[in-house]
Amino acid sequence: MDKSGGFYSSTSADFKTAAIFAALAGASYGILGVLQILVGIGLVNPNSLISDPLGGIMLVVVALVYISGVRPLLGEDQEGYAYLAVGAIIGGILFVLQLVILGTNALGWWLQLEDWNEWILLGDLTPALLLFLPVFMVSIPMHKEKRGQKTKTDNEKGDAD
Amino acid sequence: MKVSSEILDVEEGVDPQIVLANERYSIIGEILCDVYEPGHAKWRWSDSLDKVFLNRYLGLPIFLVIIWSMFNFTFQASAVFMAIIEAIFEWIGSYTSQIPIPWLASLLTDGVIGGVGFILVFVPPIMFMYFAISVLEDSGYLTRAAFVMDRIMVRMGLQGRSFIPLLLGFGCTVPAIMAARTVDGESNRLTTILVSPLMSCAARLPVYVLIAGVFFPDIAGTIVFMLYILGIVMAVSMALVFKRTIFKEESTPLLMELPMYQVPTFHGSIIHMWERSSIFLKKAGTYLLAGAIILWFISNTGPGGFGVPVEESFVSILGHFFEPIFAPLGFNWQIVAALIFGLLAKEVVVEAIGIIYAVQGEAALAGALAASITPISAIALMVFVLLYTPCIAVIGTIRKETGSNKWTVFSVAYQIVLAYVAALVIVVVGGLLIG
Repeated sequence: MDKSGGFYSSTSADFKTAAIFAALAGASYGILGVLQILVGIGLVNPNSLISDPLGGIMLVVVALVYISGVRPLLGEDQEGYAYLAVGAIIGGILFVLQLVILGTNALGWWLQLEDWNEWILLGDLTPALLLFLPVFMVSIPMHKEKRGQKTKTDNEKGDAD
Repeated sequence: MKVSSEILDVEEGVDPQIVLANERYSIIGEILCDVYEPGHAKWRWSDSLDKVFLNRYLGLPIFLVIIWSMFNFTFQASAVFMAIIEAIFEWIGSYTSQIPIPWLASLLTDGVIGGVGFILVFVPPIMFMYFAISVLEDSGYLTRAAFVMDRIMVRMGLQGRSFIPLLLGFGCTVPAIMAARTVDGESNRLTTILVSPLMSCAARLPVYVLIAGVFFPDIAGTIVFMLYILGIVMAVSMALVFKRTIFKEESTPLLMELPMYQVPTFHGSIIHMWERSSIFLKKAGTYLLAGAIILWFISNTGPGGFGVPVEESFVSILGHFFEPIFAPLGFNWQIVAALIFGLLAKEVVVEAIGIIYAVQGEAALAGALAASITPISAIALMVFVLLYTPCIAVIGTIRKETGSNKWTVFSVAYQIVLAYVAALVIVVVGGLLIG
């Protein structure tokens, strides 16, 4: 079934793929978010990478957004893609935030400022940073492919008219 | 617009505000049918994104993620630039302290560098926060934030439109109070004016950055975020109290045109950031410089004349006079004096702390602060700064906008009482929890 009236040219298989992607991304953010909360409140052995409980809650929110998109995508509703987009946007915000923090910390270390003497790169490689990359790597080619198909379909329709 | 009472009767159990909003949209739809020729149906990203960003359940958590990111960005990303500016002023101070004329050396080192120089250390977090706010504004999200909060505020019997001026309060309370002119109804407008100062303005940020950085360095960004959220919660709670007690007026539904989402440009956001930050820089170069010199003078002058130790100065006398009132909160006379001078402008709190403690650099000041108050009192101090009267300019604006001395005095008084009670609750509860 073609749902080309929307932003993407999507078939049932496309919706199913997107739903699986949303579920996987949601589960990844959710598991690491919960883990980060548990470490933060001291229920799991401390790990310097994921010791911020509030940061964990933020990851859980990203997970909730992705998981909320699974149902509309399985129902072949174009708006399910919006959940993927918003998940990517807020996951991206957390990623950029951590990247900027990493960059400025590296600057402090490079300038040999006192508070940054003991800074190590590993300390800034948080789940928010690590999770976004694979999600981004999968979602961008998927987005490009679907937009390409949609443009092609629209052009064909234009020619037919 | 006239809405028949039948509609409200038929849809008993449904929120009348929703019925009214639906009626408004229905009339808008009818007018559009007459004047607008619809084209092919378009599935637009902007509309679809709103389904998620304004979602009944996800809207608020998403808003919190974005605001949390903003404050973490503000604090953590600016830390290195603060350290660089601090190092520059320490370097300058090492030269000015060697000037052979003692009073001039003291004026430049302790007054100008210890005061204005110290406040300039906080320019990076202020610039970073304005940059983040500009990005949110330019993307179109900030308008949505008003909608997200509208649902909560209307449920509490308040007007969602009031949240727009409150959002402006993140930058400065003065324009926030002036923006209350857009709020319908006299009591709604007064409520907005009275609660706007509870939203944390940029001038309070240096205090949070300093105190949170000293006492809670690992979670400083989160602490700042929590303070901003507390400001929103207190503003909404106090609005509710006012609406249930002194002001009783029906709220009206929020009908607002939402702009399309767009990708903010780096150039545009930088320009907006600079426009706002330059105001702070001008303030630092004028009022705060004058304030630093006056503060330096009265912290070096006492009944014994000029050049007395700070413990024998007029600042000390003032601080010691009010210290017993703040003793339950664990504030010493230095903090009390800084809070009193903070009534002029919130930046002065940090400036005064720098001058009164008369130590060079954030690290030395951190040691002095950590030795003088407990972490619980530090939280109480940040909450007190959040909630008490922002500055003299705000008091003037409230007087101008309300046209009433009564409301102006009430505003100042309730904020000070609220700040004191909230800080006391933190000290008592914190004391019970920690023991």
